[in-house]
Amino acid sequence: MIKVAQNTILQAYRSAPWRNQYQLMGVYALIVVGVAVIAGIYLNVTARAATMGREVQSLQEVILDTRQRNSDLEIQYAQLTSYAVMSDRARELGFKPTGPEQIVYVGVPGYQPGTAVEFAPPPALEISNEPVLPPGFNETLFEWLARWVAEPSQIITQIQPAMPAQEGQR
Amino acid sequence: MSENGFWRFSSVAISFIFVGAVIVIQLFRIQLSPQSADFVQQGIDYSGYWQTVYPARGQIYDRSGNLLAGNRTVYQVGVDLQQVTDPEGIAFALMSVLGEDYNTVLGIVNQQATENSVFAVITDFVPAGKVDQLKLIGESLGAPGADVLSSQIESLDGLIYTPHLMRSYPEDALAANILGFVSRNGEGYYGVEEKYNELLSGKPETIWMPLDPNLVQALPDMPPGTNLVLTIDREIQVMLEDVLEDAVEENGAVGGTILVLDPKTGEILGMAVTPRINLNKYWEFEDLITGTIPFNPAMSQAYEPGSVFKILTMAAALDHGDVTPETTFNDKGYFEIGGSTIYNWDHGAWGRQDMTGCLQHSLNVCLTWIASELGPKHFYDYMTRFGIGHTTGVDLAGEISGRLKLPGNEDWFAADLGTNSFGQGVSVSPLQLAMAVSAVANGGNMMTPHIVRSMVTNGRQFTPGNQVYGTPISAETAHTLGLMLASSLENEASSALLDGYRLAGKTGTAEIPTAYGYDSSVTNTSFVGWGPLDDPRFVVYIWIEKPTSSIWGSEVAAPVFRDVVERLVILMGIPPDDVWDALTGH
Repeated sequence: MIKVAQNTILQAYRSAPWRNQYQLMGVYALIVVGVAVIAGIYLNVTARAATMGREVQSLQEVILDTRQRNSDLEIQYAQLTSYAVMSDRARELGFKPTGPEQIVYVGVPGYQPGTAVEFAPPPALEISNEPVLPPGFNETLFEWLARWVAEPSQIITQIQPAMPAQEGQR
Repeated sequence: MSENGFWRFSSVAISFIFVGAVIVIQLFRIQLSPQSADFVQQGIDYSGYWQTVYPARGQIYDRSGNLLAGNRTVYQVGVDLQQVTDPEGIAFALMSVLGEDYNTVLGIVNQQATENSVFAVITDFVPAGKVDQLKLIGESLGAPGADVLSSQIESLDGLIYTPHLMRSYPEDALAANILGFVSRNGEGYYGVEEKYNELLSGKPETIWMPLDPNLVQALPDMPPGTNLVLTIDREIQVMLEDVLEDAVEENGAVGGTILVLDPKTGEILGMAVTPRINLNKYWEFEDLITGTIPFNPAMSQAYEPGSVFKILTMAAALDHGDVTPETTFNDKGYFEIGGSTIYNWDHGAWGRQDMTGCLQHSLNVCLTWIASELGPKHFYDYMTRFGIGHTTGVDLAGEISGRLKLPGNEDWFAADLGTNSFGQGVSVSPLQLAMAVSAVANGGNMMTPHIVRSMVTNGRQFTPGNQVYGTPISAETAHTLGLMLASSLENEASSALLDGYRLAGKTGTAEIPTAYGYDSSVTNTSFVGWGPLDDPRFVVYIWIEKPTSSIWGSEVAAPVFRDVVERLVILMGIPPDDVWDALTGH
């Protein structure tokens, strides 16, 4: 087997050595280019993924940092509006605590004083922030056809908007 | 190609194949070796690290949304031992800016980095301002015009500042007894911080942080701890604390408690005690709160209440039908019960009195007679229904139940029925008695006192309903007793009264039990009252402990009640009775 291969290569070299060499070089070059392209794509994708990963890490740090700064600002605000600070400022501005004899009560029909702060809606009140899209925006052609078969009148109504009332029609 | 060249190429190829084969065989050998698990583990260890992420602790607000407990950023200051170039400079900087001990810091920074130890913590909970100073020094090193401190430091390389959150209380000592505090390891102690520790702290998660950026994943979206909205009103709380501090000082008292409840809901609107600590310096509390003084005496300290307890005895007798307001009792100045003789507070005989007179003059003899008419079974049944001897269920850590001896207990004697009827030989916390009396103010319904009004989590605010603790007396009894107590205050021209408002209440003066009997030279003075009588909006309980200005509740606690109510009606927007009647057309 080795002998036959050896004879073939020797014979090729003898008759037209450059043709076989070019052929082999072409095959090798093709393989090398193919591998290089795949490696390049792989490297590109990997590099982009790594960059995005780093960005994710960086953004996570930004989120944590922002939350911490937010907490700090809330504390600062609370300190600036604390009872001690506010009462000092009020005194500096010339305000004085009022006595019962200085208060005039006025009846306001229907007025209900607030009982306590509400930071969020109660659990029973579900408010959806998701936009309500007509089914045509996200259904497939087959789903549309199935719906058309099931309720053709609804589909036709959707396709043909209501005609504007013409002059003279009441 | 010559034959010689072919063999030469073949030899090189065979060499490469051989080397490749050796590598493959070695790979298999390592995979199958006993150490393979260790190698795999090492690979995992070096591919990332576990990090525990703590959600921000939930915030605490008063009922109007004023922040009472929040979080602020502090820093852990550590050192990367491999990066340090100037250990003396780091030690000097931390000594100068943070006040750390030079030699201690130098010892930490001079440690040799090992495979398992490349980072060392120097100190923690450093305020942001101090870290900013250190960063500024680090940036100014070598710059022209650097200050004296910077000129003695070559480099701060290796210092690492790691931020994290720490509990902070913007109002310092305000409502300290209600809030409690959070230690540096994140545990809540006392008050709301302890009772709701799990809700406030949220659920920490330990996650794998890969070092390979290709494997980076978003951090889990951990919700912060639940925010709490309390029932207390900041303005009322401040007012109560001011009034209490003045009262304790003016009367030379050991301490005191003022409690304000909404009788219709059980909401605690304010709860002031002495002493209180600055929650931002909670570690100093052992210097302030010494001996047997509890963190929050309003619910953690039992004492013999004295005559304020007579409200409950009278309520029981009225409700059971043993007496009516018109029932008369001829007070001879003493009453024998269970082999003991009971006397009045002045050892006097007050003659014929109706039931309002018995309350007005706070006659021990009369109340003992009432309890004897009621009998021990019914008396103690009623006291149990009022919650005496049991915790109220308030949502604060550290509540005590007090002590109500019952017939059948080894230490109960027949004479106890008499002494218990006027608040002696029975111990309660101020909160317990305030809750019990709130039944009279609220048409017989006794609401469970509570401090948390709402919980805010995941964008929703949960407001649990108010709970009825029990209905110890009928609405008719409550109404009748309210009128009796209001009349007794008015007949007495009590210093608890406030112009324009009809109030009901009762004073209390209790001798303090000692190992040798009752000491009449020091007393606990109390007052419990509510108003406006027609539509009660508040129950106020005053306890001034061991005053030296006077031993009588009518002279010490009653004026404090008036001071509180005078300011309370303004803060709560409660108009005088005549104005209210005119506005509502009654």
